[in-house]
Amino acid sequence: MKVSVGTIARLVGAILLAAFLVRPEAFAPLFAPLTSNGAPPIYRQGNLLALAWSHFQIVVFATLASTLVAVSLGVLVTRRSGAEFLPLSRAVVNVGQTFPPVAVLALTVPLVGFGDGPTFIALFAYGLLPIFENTLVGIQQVPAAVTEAARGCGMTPAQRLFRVELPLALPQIMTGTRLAVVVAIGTATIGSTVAAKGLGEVIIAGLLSDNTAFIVQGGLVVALMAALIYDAMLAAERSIILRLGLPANERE
Amino acid sequence: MIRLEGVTRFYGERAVVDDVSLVVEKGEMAVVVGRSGSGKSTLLRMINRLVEPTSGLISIDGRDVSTVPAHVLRRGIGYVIQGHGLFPHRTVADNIATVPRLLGWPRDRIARRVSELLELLQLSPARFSGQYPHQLSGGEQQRVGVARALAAGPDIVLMDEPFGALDPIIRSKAQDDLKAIQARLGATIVLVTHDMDEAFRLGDRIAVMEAGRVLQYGTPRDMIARPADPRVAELTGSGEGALRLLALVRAGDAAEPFDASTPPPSHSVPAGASLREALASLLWTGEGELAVTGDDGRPVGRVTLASVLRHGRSP
Ligand SMILES: Nc1ncnc2c1ncn2[C@@H]1O[C@H](COP(=O)(O)OP(=O)(O)OP(=O)(O)O)[C@@H](O)[C@H]1O
Ligand SMILES: [Mg+2]
Repeated sequence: MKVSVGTIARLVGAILLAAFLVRPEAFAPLFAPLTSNGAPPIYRQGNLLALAWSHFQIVVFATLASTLVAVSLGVLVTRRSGAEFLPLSRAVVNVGQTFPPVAVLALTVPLVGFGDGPTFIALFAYGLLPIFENTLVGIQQVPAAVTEAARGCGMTPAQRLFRVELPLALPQIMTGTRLAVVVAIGTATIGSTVAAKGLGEVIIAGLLSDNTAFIVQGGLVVALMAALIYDAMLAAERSIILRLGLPANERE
Repeated sequence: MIRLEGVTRFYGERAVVDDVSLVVEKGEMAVVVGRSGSGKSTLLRMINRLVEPTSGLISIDGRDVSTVPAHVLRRGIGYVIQGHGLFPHRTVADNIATVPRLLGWPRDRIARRVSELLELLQLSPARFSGQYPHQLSGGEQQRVGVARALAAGPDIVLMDEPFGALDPIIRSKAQDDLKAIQARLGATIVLVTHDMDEAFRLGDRIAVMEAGRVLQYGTPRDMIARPADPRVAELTGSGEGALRLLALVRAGDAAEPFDASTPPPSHSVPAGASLREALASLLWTGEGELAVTGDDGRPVGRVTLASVLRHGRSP
């Protein structure tokens, strides 16, 4: 296997992130110049690793939920009998996008209370659109000759969906999920305003105590996490595309 | 046996297939030939219910196909789609195994069947089983498409321009192979093509289609000898009728016994060659007669220029 600059950068990024989350004090000298008046350079009010983990978890669960819903909707509207639901489904997934996340939080807190709930709902709503649209494209671009062959071989509609259409749409669906995850990792930070456990806590603590070091380390951890996950998911997509000999999708 | 009675299919206002009736006998190869857009594919696809007729009846061995659930019907009928339609996310072996898997065959039986078919279509199992369709040439893809259609040993195979993507030399080889495969499997085949030469080469019977109608359905000899319609004559190429007739006769069948009083001919043709090839050879060599040789290369008789000319005369 040839080791590229990219691979090394990824490895270094991953090691740095892990090291920082496990032993943040070791990085104190780096962040010290960003503090003043003897404020702590490293966030200590909560365990960084635990915060990152729950941040990650809420993103994963919310994205899984939006994937489930958006892919189901995408499948529904690409069936002959479901085509009439396309405009309605588009409208629904678009609502999620047009509402600013802060507004979603504000609206859902009275309904589900403080904590992870509102953030989950906001991330879920935000993930629907990219996944839905990509599922749609993915299923629609399955060549007509291939679906026709699946029918001609005697596959039932369900067999055609699970054995032919979805596997062939998979890379495209993964593109949608990847976009949703990356947006969600960033968006999840604002969840901390309504008491969701996550890396937003660090940033907010920095804002409240006017400690730039907190803001920077919170931001860096979120950004690094997003970049690494994006990268890993992209690599997974590429390997599938390569194996299938599908035309690499240029919509990056 | 496939029977079509008054089969019609409308798309909007237009009858794309218009009142077609014909019977394909068991073990026969019927070739549907016609120009692009004449309704060949639509006709073919009604047999396995990929398209439902607007009116008319289609039955297989006396059973109305519309009474059989579509997916069950299709598992019993091989289908080679125009432009192969292989599953890009599945290996060659998995593509071929599609129908046997749907039918729930045990694994080892499927594996055996897959290598058998690869061999039959001259694709080395070791090399091709694990490859993905995009790694194959157009001709190899089409052969895999044919293998997939034959996989579950169907009694009926529908083929929509199965050799469309092949160059002329590989194409005629593929046609010979198909003939041999059919003889071996005894399947009833309906094949669609727009190539009249292919129709004459393969068809036990030929249906000539034009604008949704079958102008004539009959043996190749009938087509030439008694075209039902000037358009049939035009399509079959009236000027080439004689050569097409010669192409239908094997030299072995036309051979006459040797005449002991004359020296044996210096050139020969194999018994399996057509009289058309024999004529070409006579013209080329300038001889008046050729020896006809059997499989073992031994002469079994002779064909003379006069007898070849007689076979090509308008019947
Ligand atoms: N689903 C459809 N909807 C509307 N029109 C159709 C449909 N399928 C086929 N047609 C029309 O029916 C006519 C016959 O089509 P068909 O595919 O049977 O032709 P063909 O003889 O197989 O042609 P080719 O040799 O080009 O494959 C064409 O004019 C085509 O446009
Ligand atoms: Mg066609």
